Amino acid sequence: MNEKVLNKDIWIYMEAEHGKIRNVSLELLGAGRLLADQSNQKLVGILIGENGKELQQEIIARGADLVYMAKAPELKAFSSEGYTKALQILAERFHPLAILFGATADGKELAGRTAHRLHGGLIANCTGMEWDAAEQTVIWTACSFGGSFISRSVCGKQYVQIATVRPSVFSRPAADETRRGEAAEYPVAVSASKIHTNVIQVLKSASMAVNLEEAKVIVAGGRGMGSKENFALLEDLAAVLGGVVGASRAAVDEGWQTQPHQVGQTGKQVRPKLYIACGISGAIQHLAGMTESDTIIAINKDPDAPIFKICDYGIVADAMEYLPRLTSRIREIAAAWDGLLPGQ
Amino acid sequence: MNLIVCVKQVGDGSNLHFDPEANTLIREGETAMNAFDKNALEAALQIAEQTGGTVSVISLGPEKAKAVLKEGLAMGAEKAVLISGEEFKGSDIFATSRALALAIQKTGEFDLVLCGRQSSEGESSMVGAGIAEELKAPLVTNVCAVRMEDSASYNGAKCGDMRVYFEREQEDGNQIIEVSLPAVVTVTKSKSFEPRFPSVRATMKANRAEIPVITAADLSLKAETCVNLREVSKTPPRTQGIMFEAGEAVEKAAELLCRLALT
Repeated sequence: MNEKVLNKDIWIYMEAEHGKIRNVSLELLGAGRLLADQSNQKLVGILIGENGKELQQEIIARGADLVYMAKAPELKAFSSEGYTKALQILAERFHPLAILFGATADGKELAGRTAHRLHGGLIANCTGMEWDAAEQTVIWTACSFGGSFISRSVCGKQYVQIATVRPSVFSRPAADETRRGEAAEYPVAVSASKIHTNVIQVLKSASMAVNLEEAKVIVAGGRGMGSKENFALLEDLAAVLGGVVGASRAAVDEGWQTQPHQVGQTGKQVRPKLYIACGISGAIQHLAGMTESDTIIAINKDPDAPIFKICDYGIVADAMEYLPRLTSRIREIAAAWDGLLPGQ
Repeated sequence: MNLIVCVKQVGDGSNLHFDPEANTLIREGETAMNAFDKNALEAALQIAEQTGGTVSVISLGPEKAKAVLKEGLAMGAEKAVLISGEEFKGSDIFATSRALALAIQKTGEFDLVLCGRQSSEGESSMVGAGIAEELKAPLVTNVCAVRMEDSASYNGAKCGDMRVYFEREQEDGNQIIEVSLPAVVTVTKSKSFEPRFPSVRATMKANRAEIPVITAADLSLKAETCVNLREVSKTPPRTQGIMFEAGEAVEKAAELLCRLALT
């Protein structure tokens, strides 16, 4: 009979890119801290890579009690095979209760592989987690079907619990430089021959590298924008507001924007603080990608456009005529506010 | 080259309800092949045309999911198989991935397994990763283009002397990834993989096809679910807010936007 291993502690996978921790991972430290306090567990930040000493203090300052760093030269670049192996080694040594991942491209690969390898319970796109003291288990809330359904689930206690969380679901905790914690490094044996993928090039053109998921402001255009040239009006507005440009499927299919900018069921699912829909009618497939936004503003010349049924503020106007006036007025206000706007 | 495409039958989202007894969502009304799975099938058909090979489609679902397999046959897949049975009701990500992977192994050798980036229902993006893990294969997600090159010096790939490169969408820019086969990829929507329309003749032929069914017993699979749904509810709908009149719109909206963007 196997000795019963008691799983403990809440782990957050700290995704780092170019020596900087991704926002979504920091957001998870805030949510993880609450769960750790409720369940009387420690909060552990997990780093994987070749080196990450300079990141450890920030992880502790934002709420972690401990930092575990899995180190190996083979882990310099992300690969789901190498990183899963590293996480497996740590998990088999320390037996976490739960591991949380940001639902980024890399985070999702790693969460999916790790959950399967550890035979864990996997909750995708979690939007809330609470400790049920009576049952001594986590109740996970998640959304699916384009944000139209909310589920509450529990995992069997014999399983490590793994969840992915989209950017901007939780807010980033402030850094407290006086917080103290411990960091430990673990050299792990990862064989280069077990890594079968190799990134040989990164295409960094502006049209490709857009992080809609982490954007605070998105100015999106649809078929009503009329042409590729008119998307410049959206660029202008996005620039003064410190935002990025999104597009509906129709606009992408017309070739007015590249695929990475598409919001909706067959594009990105976003939850910015502010979503400005210009010339977008509001088909259900588009709403599936943006209905979780904090504030939605719609500009459309058709007063019967379905987008007006779900927006917080609606403006019936021709976007082509209206946007230049709006952008120029915002510039004036911003100038009066002395360049306080993030885009200035 | 053996290419296997995992496809899912999804509802149009209009008529869904949760059955707490069966721990599963019941969808009624129109169903279709998940959009990203069509992109994955298109990618597979293009690769097969270029390299010579066979494309198969596989699905896990109820008997009526045969409809999407027939759609796959009509688009150009040569073989189709359905994994079905009561044991699979309420399958979580782990159970779904394992069943698909075991069925893929059972069908024989494979060089490339393709899935859609995510389904429009669960939206987890996790099943492809689970299949890769179960098959102990490398994984490339969010693929938007593929390039193949002949190279005599390349010895990682099983299919002749083929170098395979996938373009992967990632937050910091698209990556070109070299991978050795066999591998699992998930495919996203892109211009390269715009799904073809089946001909009427191909559709009629596909509709007459007999689709074999694999059961849990065939896979020696003990149904095991790690995650248990407690409840599922509809998100309260957003309601319409304030409409600005055309005259006041510029001033009010500009101030509002400045305030919102600053906070």
